[in-house]
Amino acid sequence: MRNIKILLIILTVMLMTGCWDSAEINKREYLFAVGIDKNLKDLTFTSEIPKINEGSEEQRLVYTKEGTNFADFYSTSYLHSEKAISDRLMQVIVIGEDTARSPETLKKIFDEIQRSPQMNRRVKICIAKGKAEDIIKTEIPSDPIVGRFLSEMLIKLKRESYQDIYTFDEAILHLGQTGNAMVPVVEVNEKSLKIERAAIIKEYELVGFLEPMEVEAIMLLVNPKRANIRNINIEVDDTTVALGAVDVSMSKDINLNGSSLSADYYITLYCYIDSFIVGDDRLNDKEFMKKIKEEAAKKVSSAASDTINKLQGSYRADLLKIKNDLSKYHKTDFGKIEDKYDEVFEAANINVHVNVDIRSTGLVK
Amino acid sequence: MFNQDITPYQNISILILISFAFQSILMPLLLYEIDGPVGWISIVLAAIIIYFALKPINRVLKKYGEDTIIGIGERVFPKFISKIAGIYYILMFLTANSILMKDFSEQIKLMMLFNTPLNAIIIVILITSAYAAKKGIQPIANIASIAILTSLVPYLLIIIFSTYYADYSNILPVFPADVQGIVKTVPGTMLGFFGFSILLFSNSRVSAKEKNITISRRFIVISSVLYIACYLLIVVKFGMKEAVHLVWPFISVMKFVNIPGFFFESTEIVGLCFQIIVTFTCICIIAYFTNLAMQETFKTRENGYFIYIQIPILYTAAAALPGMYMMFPYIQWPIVIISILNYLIPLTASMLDKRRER
Repeated sequence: MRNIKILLIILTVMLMTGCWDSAEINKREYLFAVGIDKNLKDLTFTSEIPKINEGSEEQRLVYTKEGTNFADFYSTSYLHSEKAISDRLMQVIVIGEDTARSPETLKKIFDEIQRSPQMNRRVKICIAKGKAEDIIKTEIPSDPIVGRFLSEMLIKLKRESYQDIYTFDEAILHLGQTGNAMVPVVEVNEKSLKIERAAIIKEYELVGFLEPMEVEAIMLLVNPKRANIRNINIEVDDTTVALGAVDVSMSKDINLNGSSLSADYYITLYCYIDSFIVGDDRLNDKEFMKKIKEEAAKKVSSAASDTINKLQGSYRADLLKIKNDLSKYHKTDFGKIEDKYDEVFEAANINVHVNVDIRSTGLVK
Repeated sequence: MFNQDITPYQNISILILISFAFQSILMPLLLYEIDGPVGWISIVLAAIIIYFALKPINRVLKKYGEDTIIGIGERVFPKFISKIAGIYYILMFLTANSILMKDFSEQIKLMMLFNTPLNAIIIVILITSAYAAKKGIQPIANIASIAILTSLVPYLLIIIFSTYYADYSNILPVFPADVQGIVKTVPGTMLGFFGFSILLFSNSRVSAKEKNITISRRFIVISSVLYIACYLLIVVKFGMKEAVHLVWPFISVMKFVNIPGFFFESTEIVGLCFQIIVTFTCICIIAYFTNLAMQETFKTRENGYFIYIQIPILYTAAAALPGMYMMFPYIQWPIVIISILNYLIPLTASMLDKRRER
């Protein structure tokens, strides 16, 4: 009896391992990047597969296939290759501009990724300026694997909080909570790629693009603690002064009175003098320093106001997450205007009050 | 035959573990039935309601020492009612176990064993847990006390790591609270404290029975803290709008985890492995207490062999039942009824016993 029990246990262990249909690593093709473009009928999937199994890490295969959705793309790929296709190592999904402009298509793509138990939700996401296929097919001499290049670039930008969204899960959460999201835009840059601008996604539809300065202004208002502000170059008394912001503090005051929405942002930038002129001792002059502070504040304030005007007037897209604040801190009042929030946001009185404080002039006076 | 007593620590481990499993299964109910992130109020209310019932229930359990709620029922209820109560507990445990098994096997299939038939997964779980359940309460209690340390704690740590990049303001607004939603979910939340039904059986097996009341109270406090923490964790991670769509919020939390320096490809699989141990232990616990309920109801000397009756029933129920998330729209009333019965049966037994004393 004891032997039968042992035999049964051994048999169970051998039969229930779940590895009976295993595919070895050299029999797999790992997708690193997928670009999704819209064609006349369906979607065009451009996939990048590095030849990691053959010891040549810098070589890749690029396939283009048509399909209705990811499942379709996988099943077609399965029939077109002797290897098993796997998305476990997928680094980045690039969505073509045309695809992003179609809310129905974008919703389908997002739904499929969200629903799938296998697909990694931490996959990075970006919008292509133009066709995603062109991005995936770009030959970058320094780093031929586009998926890896984009992934590392997005990780770097995320670390520096250059933009708000980098991964699919962040995009889906932002779109779910506020209906708006700012997604990085990837563009061909000679023999490489660049990510400078951001796409405005409103209710799963690409409605416009933001320039780097505008992205910076929005990040300053949305995430001041981690915002990455580039140099502030100003002209004071015909002299160019460059300031670098090292710290930011911000408070905001959002009020909703009936349909009248007002938001005031009070920002203090703590700066260092990055560059001036050798031998010029005007930095010791209090009046001159005051002028520098005023000019810098004016510049930042004006950039922020222009961006806000663009968001309110051109796109009616609340990337500042005011809607999120209202739903949490003014629930009752917000409930009354929720249906017409876009109009309320467009007419809102949003002001940015900037104060600049110079902490240091650097290593010389 | 053998000493079948368990220690108070083992008892509290069983109660916490079993409650945690049902709390994670019932979490979607708490998320989508209430408008706003105020489900924690429902948990607090449920915990208070159960807390106040502990004293009279423990009094009667202490009085009849070795008897479980079914044995006590036979002393205080008419024979017919006590038999019905016994059968009710058997059916309730069988249903709860099959739901747990089905949900758990579906998770394993979807996340790990894509090509393995669901039935094969159910059979493996069933055979393994049946073996453990047949051996009596002590091995199960040992597994539970070890599982708390080796699985539940790391599992919770993985989930806590997921709060990185979470928006803590998602726990707002509290006011105006959805009072109707809160009240509606209290029965379901009470069912989440499944350990409350288990302690009616397990307390009689504890070696130091004088500690039972303290252990029961501690269990409610720890379990509520765990329940509230898990609820808030999901809310801060996803926000209410996203959280209401989730079928298995805990698994989804793990899919979002990004632990710096973590070398595993899929964090959710690591978390799922810990969950396997937790859920497997829970299945063993319920299977054992079903055996015990059968023994007391049908008046037999042994209970181990009842597992052979349980296996086909559990397998059929688990294979036939849809997943818990598919059943939510249809089980609103059954949840209320089961929750009320679980609460009232021991409380009524205690009240009748007190009246008899007078």
